[in-house]
Amino acid sequence: MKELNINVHHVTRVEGHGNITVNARNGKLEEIIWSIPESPRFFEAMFRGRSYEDVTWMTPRICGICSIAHSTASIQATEAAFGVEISEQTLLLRKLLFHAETLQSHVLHFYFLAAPDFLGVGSVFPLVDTHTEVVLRALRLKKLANDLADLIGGRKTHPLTCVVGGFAKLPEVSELKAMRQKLVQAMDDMQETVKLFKGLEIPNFTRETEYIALKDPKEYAFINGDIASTDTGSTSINSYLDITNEFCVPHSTAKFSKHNRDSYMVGALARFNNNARQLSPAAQKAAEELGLKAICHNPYMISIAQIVETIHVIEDAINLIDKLTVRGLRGEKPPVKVRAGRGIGAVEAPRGILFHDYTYDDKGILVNANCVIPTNQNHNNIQKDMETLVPEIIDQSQEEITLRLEMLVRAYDPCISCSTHFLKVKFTQ
Amino acid sequence: MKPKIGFFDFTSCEGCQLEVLNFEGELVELLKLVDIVNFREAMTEKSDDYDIAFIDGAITTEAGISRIKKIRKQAAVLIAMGTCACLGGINCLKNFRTMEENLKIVYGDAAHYYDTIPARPVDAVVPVDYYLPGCPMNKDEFITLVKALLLNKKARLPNYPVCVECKLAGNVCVFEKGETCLGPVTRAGCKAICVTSGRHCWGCRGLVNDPNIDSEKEILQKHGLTTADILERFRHFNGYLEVSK
Amino acid sequence: MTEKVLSKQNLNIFINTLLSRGEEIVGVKKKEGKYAFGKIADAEEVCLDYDITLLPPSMYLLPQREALLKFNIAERPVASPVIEANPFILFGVHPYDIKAIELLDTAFSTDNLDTNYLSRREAATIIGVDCLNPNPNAFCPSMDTAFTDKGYDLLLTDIGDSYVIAIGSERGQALLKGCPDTQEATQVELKRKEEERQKALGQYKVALDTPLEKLPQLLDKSWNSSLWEERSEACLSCGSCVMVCPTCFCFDVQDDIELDLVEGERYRQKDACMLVDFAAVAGGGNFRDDKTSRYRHRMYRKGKYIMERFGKPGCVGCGRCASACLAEIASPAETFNLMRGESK
Repeated sequence: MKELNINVHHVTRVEGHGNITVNARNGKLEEIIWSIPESPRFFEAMFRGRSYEDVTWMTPRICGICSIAHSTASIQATEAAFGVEISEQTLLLRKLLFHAETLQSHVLHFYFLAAPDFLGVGSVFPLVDTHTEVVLRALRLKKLANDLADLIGGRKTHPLTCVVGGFAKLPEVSELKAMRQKLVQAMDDMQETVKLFKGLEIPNFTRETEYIALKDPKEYAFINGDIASTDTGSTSINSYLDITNEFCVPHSTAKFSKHNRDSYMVGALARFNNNARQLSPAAQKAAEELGLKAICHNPYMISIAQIVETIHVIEDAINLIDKLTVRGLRGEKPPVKVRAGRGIGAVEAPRGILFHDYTYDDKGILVNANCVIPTNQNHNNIQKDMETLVPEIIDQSQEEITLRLEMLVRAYDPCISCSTHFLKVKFTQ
Repeated sequence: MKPKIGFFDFTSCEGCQLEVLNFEGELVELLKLVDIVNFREAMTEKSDDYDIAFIDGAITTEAGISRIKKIRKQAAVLIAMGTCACLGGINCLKNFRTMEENLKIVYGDAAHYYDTIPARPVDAVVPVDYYLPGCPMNKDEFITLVKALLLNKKARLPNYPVCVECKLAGNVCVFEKGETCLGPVTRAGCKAICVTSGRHCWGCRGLVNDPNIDSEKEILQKHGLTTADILERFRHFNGYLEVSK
Repeated sequence: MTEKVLSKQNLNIFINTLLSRGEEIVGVKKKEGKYAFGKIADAEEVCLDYDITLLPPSMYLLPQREALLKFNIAERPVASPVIEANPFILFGVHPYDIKAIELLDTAFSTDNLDTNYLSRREAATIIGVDCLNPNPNAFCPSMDTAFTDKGYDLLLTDIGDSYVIAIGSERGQALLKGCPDTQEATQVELKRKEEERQKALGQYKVALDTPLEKLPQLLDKSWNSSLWEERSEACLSCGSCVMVCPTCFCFDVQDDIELDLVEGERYRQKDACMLVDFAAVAGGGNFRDDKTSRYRHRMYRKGKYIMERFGKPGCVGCGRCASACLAEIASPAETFNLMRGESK
């Protein structure tokens, strides 16, 4: 009879630390646990008593891989609290900067973190010799994403220019035009990317679940809109707590989320499942080519949804640059007047919907903060996926099961280092 | 023999490891010179046979203390990479509250015991051979250090304040714009990127070897900061240092 | 040579003509309420009524960092010099900065000829403009740098709706030939130029109490003054004063190698005596490891050493250092005046 004893300590090629434990005896599954041994970082405690400007500066440091998302959610929460209206120019630049991160993170994920599994290697590094063209293409796309972040945000990680109310420094129109050129060229690399992934065998596994993402009637939402669920429709971001419903479970160390069902998913696939029709034409075409159709219930398809989104983001970045260059860029002094109040910012980080919820006093000093991170919302869905997946593949070897589970975790592109300030921590080794 | 290098993460945002993956122009060349044998964020294989260890993150748990000691034993060269590893960084902000209070704020009534201790830089636990400060660390300094190690040459960080690079960048001084800045006492090497991008220096690279803190404090006060403001400013990244106490 | 006159409108046309001819023009532009030299794309950007620029124009002759040679350390090492000097026009240089450039000319051609500097200097056409709107920290008249009659190819003086143009070289004259709208300056216009200059002289707020030529003597007597320690107490050793100085020309030479560990370059980059490690040497010693000795050294450079070595003062009184110094201790004039007060 089948005996399983899987203990993956610190899943690799993910951001942050997560462990998988599976035990089966006599063919009977005894235990499956997805747990998080990341060190807690206490950001909410550190934010308390600090001025809004300090908070803006600190929030990117929650996570190196989605620093722009944290920065944007944070700025939007503060703006909501103070009632700051931003200009059209700021909105365009913010979207453009946000796209930079979606690009950075997605390219990193599908090429550097996920692709090695499909190509039968342990990392991108050996591919330098065996798949030189693939690696060079990945590096080109990553560089493009980083160059865009540099141009709008001042650097690749931990953006500098975005502040409450606007931007502390603007790009030159000539620089935007040069960037546009590079984005147009990158579409060729994305076509090649589609070809490559089309040829890869994505594990076939489905489990119906609820998909939650921002939704904006005007566009494929990243930094605006309401919270949409494939089960229950839309609600305002102000009632995010009714959606995220964080709770503790006895068998795991992490706080989990659930809404309408056992669990829900956020991220590229959740966005796709809610908003596919708003994707750019080239992205829709890529989705079709890659066999991605809403509503898709296969979590391994998250990487594919990321590829589709990458194409959308490149196309939309080109449109945003066109709008900005037609308007011309004007220096604006961000009009910020502090006042007491609470504000909520919600954005679609690469890994899914992210909430920052701040309460300020009348001097602009933060008195309370709550951040709900996408990976946290996915933990429960990862757990439930594992519970469904393992019995389906229990006849395979322990190595194969382990790989499939690791690939599952990686597909979610978890960003644990930023999720952990919410997690209960216990070492399982 | 190519030296074997490993990247090890402690408490951080992992942005500094990410920076390594951002070496688009250099990654391919770099891999000709070194073997990366341990890099959890990017690869599955892990080996405990390495010569050079890059440490990302501050030490904030008891488990972290024993782990860093083990790494120190193995590594011939140990490098603190990024502000968290070099200085404790932003993690040290929690040190100004009791650990119990932090736990309560973040985890509420559900809080019970977690493995958390006051945050500290790597060199508060084990000796560090080289430092790559910055939040995030600076790619050029990383590459320069790797080349120096390979050529058996000395690598040194600038021992002058950010003002040098800020002036050379042609920036208008932050103080002249009515704001305040830690540039005059903060170690350069960042090319004053924050000021160049319209912000001010928060001291993420730590202090120069012999900073004139009294003078800087006097200047900050003259420009409107209270003593408490000044402490808070230093604490952002330098909470572990005397200057923040 | 006779002086010319050109209307402001026609000057803009002249600039744009030069640009359309493919000339590279580095001129003064606005920057966040201040002024800075930078590459000019259109005459509209050019400011000629500025008080002072953040950084001196000399950085276009002595770059902050420049390659000196390229090398290859493969089996048979080779090294070849790098000299980059493309013709360009330095537009709108104030007389004190022209005088600073003259000092660099002397320094880099005394004893060892510095080919890199001199090639770039040769490639530069300097179009000066009189400073009629001095920076409050400037003390140019005391340093004899408020005006100059040499060191430029052309020199403009704003007389209201037009500029009087003095021609300083054949190169300047040739350049002006491409500007058909210039007229001979009339006596009235030359008189206006003189009046504008006199008016400008009246606007300087800082002056040296000691005659320029007596500065070395004053400093000779002041070596042991307690003022050095008092003044330098607040020094941040931040280098701001020296980074913005038009006459500072010290540099450090380093090698940098590519990641292939074969190709590389030797470069020099700006270095300065106010930085802690400037006088550090192998073995761990540092000739000036305290801020007082560094501070005193800089003042000696400005008022004595350079003058004795090159016959020109090491300070042109532009006031950039004083503007840049957060500790408010960097002004040579203020320091020399205090020394003078003490020595009386």
